[in-house]
Amino acid sequence: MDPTQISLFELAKQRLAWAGKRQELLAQNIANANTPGYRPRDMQPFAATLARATSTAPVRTQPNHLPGSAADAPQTVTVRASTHAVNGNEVALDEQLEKVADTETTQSLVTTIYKAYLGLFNLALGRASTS
Amino acid sequence: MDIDKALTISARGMDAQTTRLRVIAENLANQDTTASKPGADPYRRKTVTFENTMDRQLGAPTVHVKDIGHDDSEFTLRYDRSHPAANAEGYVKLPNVNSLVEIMDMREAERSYSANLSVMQATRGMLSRTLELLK
Repeated sequence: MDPTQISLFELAKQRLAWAGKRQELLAQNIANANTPGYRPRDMQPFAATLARATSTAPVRTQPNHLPGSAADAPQTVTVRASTHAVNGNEVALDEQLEKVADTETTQSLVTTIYKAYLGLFNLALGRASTS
Repeated sequence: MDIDKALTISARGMDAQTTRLRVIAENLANQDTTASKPGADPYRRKTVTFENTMDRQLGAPTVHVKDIGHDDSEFTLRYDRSHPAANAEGYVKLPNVNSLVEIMDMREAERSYSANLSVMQATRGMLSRTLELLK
């Protein structure tokens, strides 16, 4: 698929899915802030996820073949630790909360752009009163 | 939906920390609980451990209390011949609860609890902004 053909809506959809998934992972990391041996996880950066989503997949010559890539599932990574507790836990609460704030900002940005873009459509359709 | 899962995961985290606080309260309340029979053991400090396991219904791993165990460290002895729990030599076994350790644990539980709460608030904000798109 040609990246220039991705509509803004599709892009926003993917970014929102990414933010939702990241929020889930961060919630998990923070819930396990006192679990012995737990190592925090995070999402791949969105650019990497997007590159994978638009990459070419192997051609299926038979309908019975399995698809070559699972582009739908965003990849997660185990984060290299910045702290070590005695019990093997590697979650730094402040770092995780900073990531939560970052995800929230990203999500807010995407929804704002989405709404603005939707407003353009409404404008073109002659329904002026949108915000 | 991932955002719903995030809310449940945070709630389970708060749940686990609440159990931990309950055990800490139990330890602190019993820091002077001795036995009533001569030579018997007094209150033994309880410990909590957490574990991250897969919740099949939710489809995501959640934290929960793995085990409420006992601290097997030695009891301290105090010489008090008139005490009902005093042994033949006149020593009473005291609980192995250290209030400083318990208070430190309590602070940690409190901090983890509020971190989970912050995530929950952030997630709720995200959820409502997504719903705003419908308006």
